[in-house]
Amino acid sequence: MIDESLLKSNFIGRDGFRWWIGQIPPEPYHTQGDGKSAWGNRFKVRILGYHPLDDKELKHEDLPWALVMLPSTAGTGGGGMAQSVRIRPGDIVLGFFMDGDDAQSPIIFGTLGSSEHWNKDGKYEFPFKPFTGFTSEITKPDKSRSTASETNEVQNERSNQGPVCLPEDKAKYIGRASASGAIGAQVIPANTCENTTTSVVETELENLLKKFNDYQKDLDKIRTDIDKTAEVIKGSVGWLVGEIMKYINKVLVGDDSKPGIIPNALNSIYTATYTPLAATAGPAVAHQTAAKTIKSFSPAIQAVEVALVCVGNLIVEGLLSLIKDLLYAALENIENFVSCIAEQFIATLLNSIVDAIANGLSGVLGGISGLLGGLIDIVSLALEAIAFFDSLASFDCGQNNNKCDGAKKWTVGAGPKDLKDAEASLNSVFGLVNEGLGIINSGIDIAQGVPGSISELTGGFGDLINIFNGDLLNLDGSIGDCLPVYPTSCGSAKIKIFGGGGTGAEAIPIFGPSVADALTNGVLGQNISKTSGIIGAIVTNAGSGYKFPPFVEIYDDCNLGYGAKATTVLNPDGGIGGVIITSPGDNYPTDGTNVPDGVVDGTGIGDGTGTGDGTGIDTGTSTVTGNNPAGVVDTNVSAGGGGYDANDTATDNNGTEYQLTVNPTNGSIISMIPINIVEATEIPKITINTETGFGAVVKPIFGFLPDTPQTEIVQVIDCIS
Amino acid sequence: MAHNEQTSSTYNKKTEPRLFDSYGPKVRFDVNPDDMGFDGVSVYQFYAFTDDGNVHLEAFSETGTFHLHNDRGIEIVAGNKGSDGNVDICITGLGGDIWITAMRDGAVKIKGKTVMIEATEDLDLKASRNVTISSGQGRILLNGNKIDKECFAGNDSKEKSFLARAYKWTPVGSDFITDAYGGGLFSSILSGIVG
Repeated sequence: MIDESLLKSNFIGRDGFRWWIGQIPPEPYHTQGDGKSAWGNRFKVRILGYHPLDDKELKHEDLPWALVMLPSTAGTGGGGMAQSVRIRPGDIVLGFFMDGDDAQSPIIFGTLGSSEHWNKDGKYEFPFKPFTGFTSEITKPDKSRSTASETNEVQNERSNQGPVCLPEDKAKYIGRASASGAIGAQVIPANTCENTTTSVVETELENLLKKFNDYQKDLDKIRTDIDKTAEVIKGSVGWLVGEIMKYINKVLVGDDSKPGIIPNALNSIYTATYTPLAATAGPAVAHQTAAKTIKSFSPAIQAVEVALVCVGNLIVEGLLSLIKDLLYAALENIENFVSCIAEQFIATLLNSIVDAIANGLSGVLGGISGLLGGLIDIVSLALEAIAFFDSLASFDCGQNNNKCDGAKKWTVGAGPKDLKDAEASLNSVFGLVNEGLGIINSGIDIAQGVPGSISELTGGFGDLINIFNGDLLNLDGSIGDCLPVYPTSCGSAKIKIFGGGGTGAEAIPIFGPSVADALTNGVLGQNISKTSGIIGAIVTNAGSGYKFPPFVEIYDDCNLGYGAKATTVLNPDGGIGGVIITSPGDNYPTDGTNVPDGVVDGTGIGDGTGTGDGTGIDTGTSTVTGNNPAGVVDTNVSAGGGGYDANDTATDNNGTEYQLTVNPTNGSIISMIPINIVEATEIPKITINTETGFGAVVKPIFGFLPDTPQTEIVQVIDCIS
Repeated sequence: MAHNEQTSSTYNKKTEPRLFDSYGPKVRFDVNPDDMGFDGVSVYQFYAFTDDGNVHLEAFSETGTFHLHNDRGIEIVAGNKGSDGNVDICITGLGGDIWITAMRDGAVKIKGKTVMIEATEDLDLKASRNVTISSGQGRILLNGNKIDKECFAGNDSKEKSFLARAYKWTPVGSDFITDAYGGGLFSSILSGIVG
């Protein structure tokens, strides 16, 4: 022993260099330190071939400490530079002994990343069997918040998967955690130039339903949100009530341009009094008498004025409980949000409001019934008011005003979304209100006294129709068409172009390779066999009047797809020159073809002969005659760059090659035209092969391929030179 | 609920660019995550959550949008050592709109020694209930080439009031209305209604 000791140099490597592989023991033996002192970065380690496989024969606490060797980029702590060691129980570590064959001073040199097959999911059982790295200090996370994956493998998509930037429901579909509960929420910003009541109600309902689903349909958890939502809806509907009251005001007394019902009635009474008296007692006496007669109505007229101011406010305040009741009914009965639910919601509110207005004003209008000589149908008047709301948009006085042209709605985590057309929504609401009021009363007897209490003013909600319990869903017509359940037919994804100050632009999506998706088959889309991403879009109508590139929304009727994003490019004439897909998205229903049947032509709904059934985009006016696949047929050069050479070439990942036209003066790209038009299967990424050029941005424009696809490059001969 | 992880964008997944730096379950940084997000694919994501499940997320999408989410509050404070005339916080939209929206019935509060709002075109104010402009010791000035006022009641609207409009088109005219407002008629009717 002494001789052996004398023979040793005690320098690392000179007395032999021994590598080892070992495992970090379980908590609490895995690491040193009580939080107050330590001896460097030390971990206990059980070393294969050196330590027994039996943890009773050699207990964890008797294992040697191993120091951790840090990479030079981690810092030692000197100068305040340091990175934490990330070694966990169960980790397989590799190292060497500083003391050679004595094997008492191990150094951890590195770790071996856990693979999917090294299943660490489980507690420690015995040495060298994989077990979890989570401890009492670092606990296994809730799967709804983060990954519990304990693998670290390059190019394994399941390795340490983080949460996904998707709404909770979609994340759940793919078995992942959502990165933010806010994703998918709808936001409507301030909007002073349009009636946004329908959109606000729609948005609030959709947001509430989203939270309700996130809370596993627990009404108790969402009760506070219902209260908040009711306040927001009350505020928005309150504006609508104010407009109704203004309209009734205007009809009753007129405005600066013409008299209303009451002045006309006063004039009639004045004339009826003045005319006979003027003949007998003279004009002066006649005027005095007639004036006195009509002045005598002023207290009753002023009572109407007071009531008009008060009734609206009282009704709105009284609406809160009704709105809450409707929200509860909606949450309990709506399986899938559809926008027509908002229209029904507002229609129900308006029915009640109209009823309450009629009740609230009946007393004071009864006070002037003698003046008016009969009944005023306040219900009809209020309905007229509802139909009159688009008048607010006419405030511009002919000024060039584009303040309402931009995005008006935002989906958190996704971006701009189209705002429902206010006028169309109100028309729908108006129809529903009319339909509903057929069930309620249609006229008010105004021969009543002045209301004596607030409850009398706001007590008109008795005829509420519960739109969500199925009663109206069974009616024929528009109400019956609004089904708050998951649709059984999803169709293909669609593209909506909005904003930009113009109108009329339309485009259809081009799908990439599709996969059979058990999710959509199993959950909703009985007619869906495949889903796909969107790799391109073909503009079928350029539209007109666009002042800036409009927004693009890609959607499907079942709300299955997500993540497809696109931008637009404008033509100089104000039309849309192209729709550029920037992200293909995922899970969009398709029939599996590049250009789905029924979306454009031929085998689908429209065939150019006017026989389309109205469920597709093409309604019979399309000139497309074949279901040809699509590819890049043109490009949009949004930035020409500089330094390019006429001999530079360009290609894309689908095999398309392009011919460049370069400005000889500054080397910028003027145009880039595909010279072999082939079917695209991925979002085209154009690569310009150049050694001198820089800065060009060229975007692909999709179109249908010719009937006989060109698969070979045709040599272009310049005949001019 | 049945699901199939083989989704349609699997073919688009590029695992090679994916890099991650995970600091335990509560904090992680993902570069080029291969998952399809609601705003398309991300360039990077920084994610953290509290023991109570409150989430912080920042993500930069290939669409060019930067997302910053926080389940609770976001505190932005500057100027602790600033002085008069310094710009402590500058928020600028170089291209498009700036939206500030308090959802869920929240209030938007702006306060300063002087509050300036300048519109190069229109300045619109819309309220579902009341609009109040209150001046302390100073004045309220409405200055424009044309000023219109539309209302049906109020102490500044005798000529526009419901009652005045009712008589405006008659041979009596609305001049006598002042007397009606001056008397106790208005208040007696109001008290009768809200009684």
